[in-house]
Amino acid sequence: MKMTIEQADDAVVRITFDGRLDMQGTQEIDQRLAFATSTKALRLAVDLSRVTFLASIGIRALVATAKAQVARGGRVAIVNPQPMVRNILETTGIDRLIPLYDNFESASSALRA
Amino acid sequence: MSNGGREVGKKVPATRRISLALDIAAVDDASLWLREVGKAYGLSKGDIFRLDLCVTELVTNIVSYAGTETGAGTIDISASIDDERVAMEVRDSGRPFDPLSVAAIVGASTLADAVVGGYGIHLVRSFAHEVRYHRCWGENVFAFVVRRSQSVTQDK
Repeated sequence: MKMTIEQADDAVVRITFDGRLDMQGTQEIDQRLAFATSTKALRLAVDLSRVTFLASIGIRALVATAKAQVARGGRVAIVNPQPMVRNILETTGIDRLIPLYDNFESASSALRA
Repeated sequence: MSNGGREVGKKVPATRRISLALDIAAVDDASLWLREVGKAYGLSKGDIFRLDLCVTELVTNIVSYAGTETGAGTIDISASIDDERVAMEVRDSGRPFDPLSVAAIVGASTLADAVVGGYGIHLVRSFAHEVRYHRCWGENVFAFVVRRSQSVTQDK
């Protein structure tokens, strides 16, 4: 699992995952993700367009990240999950807690609003 | 005419099995095995995804909650594949644990109220077409079925 963090524009930080958010993949990014997102409030776009599999342990990491951000006054959006990953997010109700957007531009607009 | 209980013209399902040590490595090993079996039998990507998700969540549950007193144990997985469906069975020698007894998660309306975990069995119930659990000869036996996508008219 690859994870990149970038200041995508003047307001929004984009985290992009590439690979499987299963047990192995989540363990590979868990500490770096927590370190990058748990110290200050961010407007955070989590790009899942390259995530090919999402298990409950990956959902746990996403929810923990979003809860930590909201507790600090930050905001989180999910960008462009693949259809089966989107299905998982909808089935578990995560889409009602962390809004999903089809592309980074619409997520960025929503995070700034 | 008797044919041993089999329907005439019906293919006997191909069955593949794997046995894994009951430890954390079993989660990734089971997933990798399942994906290889799925490809070998020409299952669709969507079907492989469903099966992979269910097996991953069940084995994660087993290594998390059903560990044995001694720490030793096994997880045995079988996949029976025919033209219409894949019937899976996941057996473990750990403590009795019925994943279906776990209460369904209640969808939170805010992140502050949301639980961080507990989504695994909810995913299995949602992505498998049939599920059942029983205890047999000192083992937990979880069976589930995924109907192959070309034979599902109204997919979940």
